[in-house]
This record gives sequence, structure tokens and C-alpha cells, in this order.
Amino acid sequence: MIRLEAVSYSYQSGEEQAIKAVDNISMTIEKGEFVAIIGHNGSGKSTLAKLLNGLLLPQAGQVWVGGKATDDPEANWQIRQQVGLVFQNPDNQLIATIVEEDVAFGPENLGLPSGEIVARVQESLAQVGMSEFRQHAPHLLSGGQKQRIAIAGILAMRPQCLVLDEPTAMLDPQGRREVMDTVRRLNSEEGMTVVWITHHMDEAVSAHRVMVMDQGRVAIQGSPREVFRQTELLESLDLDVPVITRLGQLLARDGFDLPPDVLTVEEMVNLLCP
Amino acid sequence: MSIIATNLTHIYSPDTPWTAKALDDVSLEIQDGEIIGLIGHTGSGKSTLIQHFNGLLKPTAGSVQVQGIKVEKGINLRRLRQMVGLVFQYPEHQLFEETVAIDVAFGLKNAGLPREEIPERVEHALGAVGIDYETFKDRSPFELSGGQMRRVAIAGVLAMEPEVLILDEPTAGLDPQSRNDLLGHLRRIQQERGITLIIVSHSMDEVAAMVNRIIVMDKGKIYAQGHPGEIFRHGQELRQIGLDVPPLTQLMFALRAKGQDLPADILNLEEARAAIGKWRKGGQASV
Repeated sequence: MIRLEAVSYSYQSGEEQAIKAVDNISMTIEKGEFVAIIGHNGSGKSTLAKLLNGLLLPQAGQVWVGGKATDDPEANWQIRQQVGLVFQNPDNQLIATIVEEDVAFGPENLGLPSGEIVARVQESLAQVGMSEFRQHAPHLLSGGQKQRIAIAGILAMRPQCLVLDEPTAMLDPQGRREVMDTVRRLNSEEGMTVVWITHHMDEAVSAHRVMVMDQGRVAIQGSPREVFRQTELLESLDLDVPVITRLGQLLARDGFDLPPDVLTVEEMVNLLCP
Repeated sequence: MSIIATNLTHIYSPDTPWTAKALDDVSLEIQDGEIIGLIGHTGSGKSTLIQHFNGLLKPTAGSVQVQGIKVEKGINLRRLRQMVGLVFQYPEHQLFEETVAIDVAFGLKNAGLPREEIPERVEHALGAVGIDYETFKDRSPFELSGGQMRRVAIAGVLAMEPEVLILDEPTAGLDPQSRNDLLGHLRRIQQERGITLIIVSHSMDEVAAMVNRIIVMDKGKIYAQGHPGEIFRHGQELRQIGLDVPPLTQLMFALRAKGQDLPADILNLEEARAAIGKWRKGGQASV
């Protein structure tokens, strides 16, 4: 689906030396995969997100989306349609005064016939569970609902991949759960490829693959189990391990027969009290 | 007594179709030097409540007294706001001056502090949030990282040397490292200055380790209040009002549901570790 070959990107800030935000990264994201990217602020994860759909173009190396390079001007529009980007602040992404008009904005810009636009808006709102709000004013919705409308607006473009850059950072716990559940379902039931950028470790637990970024490079990657058992390395990168994983490791030190990669409360309950 | 609210009710847009009761007959007392975690789902009334504490809002019914001053029409707001520092959500959005030092000094100048006293107050306030004055004073606030910008914005409020410091979701959107840094600074500031500290948060987990008392709000009322351990004991109910139950509390509840003898009020990793160790030993002894 998406392939990065030795991609680098730097920001120039004033007279100072360029800051390498993404430093020689090669990776592949498969169709239908759910990849979580974690890292502290400034580790390069947002820059990476913007490289995935051609919003930024690599200064070295190449990003391929479905066989086309993002720096090919002819492919640029098609690629942005295929890879939809969702940002942190839902308020910055909503523009219309009625939910369905907001969702229709993208398909209207594609110049689609109105019947097709209506169909897509209905379908997208249903996909995020917001159909009953189609006539509401977006600014009166909760944060989680707004973020789901923003996702519906992207879905109306019929993308093959969703890239979400800290989509829950500004939401309360309920909003977080709503958005997580929606995106997980899009992935598991509809086969949507998902790149989920976060610094909440517990949001990465259910991903197929976790990539940890540090100083523009991929520091660790693997299944959540492979990554989270590397407590010391993660802590050296100022990242937390999920608290249940950490508890399992501490109890193992106390003589409990527990693996170093317990990820969820359910697993821990079954291990402690089978 | 720092803050006393008595039967406080606040109604937005009364007598219109959009009328909404944001606070419903709330009574509470906050002592000098207390550290309070004010927790609640979006729309629970917590922001409305704290805006009464510095006079941004006035009660529709009932009363609020802050440091002996009654919050009502015609009060001396300037005096109240010097005593009560309110840090809004995403305070870095309110940075606007050319340099860090000028931005932090903004409130002091407005308050008419003698010019020669300002640099010292600014240096002190920046130091309290871990920003080195000499390194940062002439920088543009917009060149800083998100976590640094937030701390500079908080320094602007600290510089006023408030007796009550209220922060609305101070860690929202920060990464774990910046979040821990900021909470560490707040804890130290509270200890050194003995001020009353009120932290508004969605996350019980985050405030549990540093507060004396958690106040949980729901639908404009106080739903529960007490020591963090007491509040955590009601984990399952809190989930129903849209709050996050920390994973360790969930674990304890799940084990208790299986008939295991474990405490419901653990607050952190070390307590969980000790409780499970003790449980295992007790289990073996009885076999």
C-alpha cells in the first residue's frame, strides 16, 4: 500500500542548523494493516504522517503510494484521495455549519454528481455512527463526535488508508473511546489500512504493529508484545510502557510466573487467577 | 478558608431556548493550602465552577466566597484576580508578545507593579516552571516546544503570585515526559509557596498521586468527593459517568469479581504490586 525508501526531511529554522525531522526511514505499510506510531513530541511522527500522503515531499528518498511516487505532480491529487489525514484538533478540520455539508465538502470538490455525493455522505456518516446527527451544527457536538465527523469527511473521499495524527489528544476519555472504537472497526470490518499516531501507549496495544520513533528514526518496531517488553529501551526514550505490562514485569521480579509482555487487564486477570 | 461555595447554581442564557443549567446547587469548601483534583466528563460543570472562583462568572443563585471576598456584581475584580490565578486550557494559545520575558511580564505591568521589580518576578516565575531565564528571556515564545510554551504561559500567571492557582486541563495534549515535568513543577510550587492548588482533569490517574482530595462532578452537581483512594473504590460507577478508570483499578475490580480478596483503592503501581504479592502469600497459606 505505502512504501518509504530511505526518506529524509529536515526543517530549516532561521540561521541555525537544519533539524532532521525524518532521517533515512524505510518502511512498508501493508494493505489492511493497523500500524501505531509512538514517540515523544519532536520525534518526527507528525512529519512522517505528512510525508505519507504527499502533504510534504521527501527531500531525499521516495514515498510510494499504490505504485505512484508522491513527488509525481500528476499523481498528487490521486494520492491525497487515497491516503486521508486526520489531525489532532477537530475544530480546525470542520468548516461547514451543518454536519452533512461538512462531510460533502471533499466529494463536492472532486466534482462528483450530486446523487453520488449524497450517497457518499450517508455512507460515511453511517460508518462513523453519526447518521442521526447529519442535520446538526458541528460546533455544538462533543469533541469525540466532531472528530468522527472529521473522519467521515475523509471517508467520503473513499481513501484506502487513514493516517490519524494524535486524533485523541484533545478529547476526553469518552471521546477517546468513541474515536478508537470507530477506527478499529473500520480496520477490522472494512479492511481500512490505518496509521495511528499517538503517545498513549494503551492505544497502541491493539495495533498489528508498533513503530517507535526517536530523533527522526525508527527506534524499535514489531508486534505490541515485542515492543512493550523492551521496557528499558522505551524508558530511555522517555516513553511509558503500558502500566499493566510494567506491573507484570515487577511481579515477575517478585517471583510470579508472568511473561514480560502482558498487555491487557483481561490477560493479567487470566494469568493471575485462571 | 480559601473558597466557600454555598448552594451555587449557574444557568447559561436564562429565559432563552438555549438555557442550560451548568451548576445545580453546589456547596463545597476548600481549605488554604489544599490540593484538589476536580474531575468530570466534558459538560459536567467543572469549568463553569472554576470560573466563579476568579469572578469570570457570577452565581445565578447561591454564593461564592474566595479568600473572604464575596463574588458578586460590583466586586473589585482586579484584587480577586491577583489572588486567584486561572490557567485556561491550552494557555499557550494566549502567548502573543515578542519575547518570553515580555509575555510573562504582561500581567505585572497591567497590575502597575513598579518597573524595577518586574524582572525579578519574571525570573522567579520562569524558574518555578523550569525555564531558565537567561537562556529564554529574549526568545520568541513561538520558537519553543509545545511543553515549553505551556510552561511559559503558566509562568505568566505565577508571576502574579496568586494565593489560589487553578489550572484547567494543564496536561492536555502534552507527551508523557512533558506531562510529568509539568506536574512535578506544580507540586513543588505548591509546596514552596503553600498555595491552594486546583487541577481540573479528565484523568483521575493523573491527579491521584498529588492531590489531597478529588471532587468528581457530573451534570452540574458534586457526584462524589474524598481522598483519591476512596474515589477509586467507586471505579465502576465512575466509568458510567464517562470517566476513565485507571487500568490498575480495573484489574483489582476484575480480580475481586472473581472472588479474590484484593483492595479496591490502590493508587499506583507499587501499591498494586504489594497488594498482589500479599494476596498470593495469603492464598498459599490458606491452602
